[in-house]
Amino acid sequence: MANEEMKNKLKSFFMSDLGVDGDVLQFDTPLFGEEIGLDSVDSLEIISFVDSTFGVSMTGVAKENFQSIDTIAAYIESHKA
Amino acid sequence: MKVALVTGASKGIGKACALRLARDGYTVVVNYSSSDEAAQQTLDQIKAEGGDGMIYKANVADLSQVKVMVREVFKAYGRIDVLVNNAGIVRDEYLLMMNPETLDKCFDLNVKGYFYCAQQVAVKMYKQKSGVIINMSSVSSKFALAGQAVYSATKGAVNSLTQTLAKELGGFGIRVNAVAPGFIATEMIEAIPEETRKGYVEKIPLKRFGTADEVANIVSALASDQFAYVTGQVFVLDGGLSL
Repeated sequence: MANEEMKNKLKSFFMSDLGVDGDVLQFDTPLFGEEIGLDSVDSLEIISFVDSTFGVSMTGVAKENFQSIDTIAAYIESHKA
Repeated sequence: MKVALVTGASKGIGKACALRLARDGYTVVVNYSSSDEAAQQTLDQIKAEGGDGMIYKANVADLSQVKVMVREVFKAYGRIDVLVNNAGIVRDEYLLMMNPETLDKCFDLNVKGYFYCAQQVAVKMYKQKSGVIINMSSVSSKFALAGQAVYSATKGAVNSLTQTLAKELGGFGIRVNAVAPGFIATEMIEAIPEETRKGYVEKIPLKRFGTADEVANIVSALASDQFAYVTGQVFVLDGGLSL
C-alpha cells in the first residue's frame, strides 16, 4: 500500500471512528495535543485499528510513534511483514 | 463458535480448565511450554469428548512468542473470547536464601506473562467489543505462608492487575476476574510427603484438598454470561483455609 494511501486510510479512521474534524487533521497534526485532543483510551482504538487493518502490532510501542498520522504510517511502513 | 485460550493447559488446573471450557462448547487452544505429549493428551481428551481445539507451544514469559501465538490463534479462528492466564511456577525460598534468578523467573512467568497475554488478547477482544480474561491467582496472595514470599508477591500482583485491567477494559465489553485457589490436589501436592499433606489438611476447615475440576467450575462460570455483571473480583476457593 502506498504511503499516501495508508495515511488517507488512517485519516478516514480518525474522522469516522474517533470523531476528529477532517478540516483540522493534517498528516503532521499532533494527535494528542490540544488541537485534536485524543487521550490514552483512544490509543487502544488506534492500536486495534492498525492491528486489524495493517496487521502490525503497536502494543507497547513508544508514544512518539503515535504523535501524528505521519509517525503512525512510518511505524507501520517499517514493521510490515 | 467461541474460542478460549488457556495458558499452561497441559496439566493440573490449566488442563481441567481447558477440558471444562471445551465441554462448555468453546474451541480451546491448549498453550504449553515444554511437554508436547501432555499437551497432546489434553487435546486428545477434548476431541474424544466431542470438542475441538489446537495445541500451541509458547513460553508466555516471552513477549515475542506471545505475539506470534495470539496472531496465529486469531488467524486460525478469527476471534478469542476467553483468556485463562494460568501458566505459572512456584519456587519457595525463605527471604535470606532467595536468589535473584528465582525472583526473575517467578515474576517473568507469573506476572509479566499475564501482562503479555492480556495485552495481546485485549487488542483482539477490543475489536470484538467483548471478552473475558480470567487470571489464576492463589490463596497465597491473601494468606501468608513462610517461604512463599516470591510466589505470594507475584499472586498479589495478579490481583492488582486484575482490578486495574477490569477498570481499563470494562468500557470495551471486556471483563477481568481472578480465581485464587488454595491447596488443590494436583501433581504438585501429591509430591509432598504424606505427613506434611496431613498437616495441611488439618488447617483446612473443609478437611480436604480442592480439586482442579472445582477450580475449572469457577472459571467456567466466570467465562459465561451468568457472570456478565462481575468484573475486577478475586474469587477465593480454598475450603476456608484463609479464614
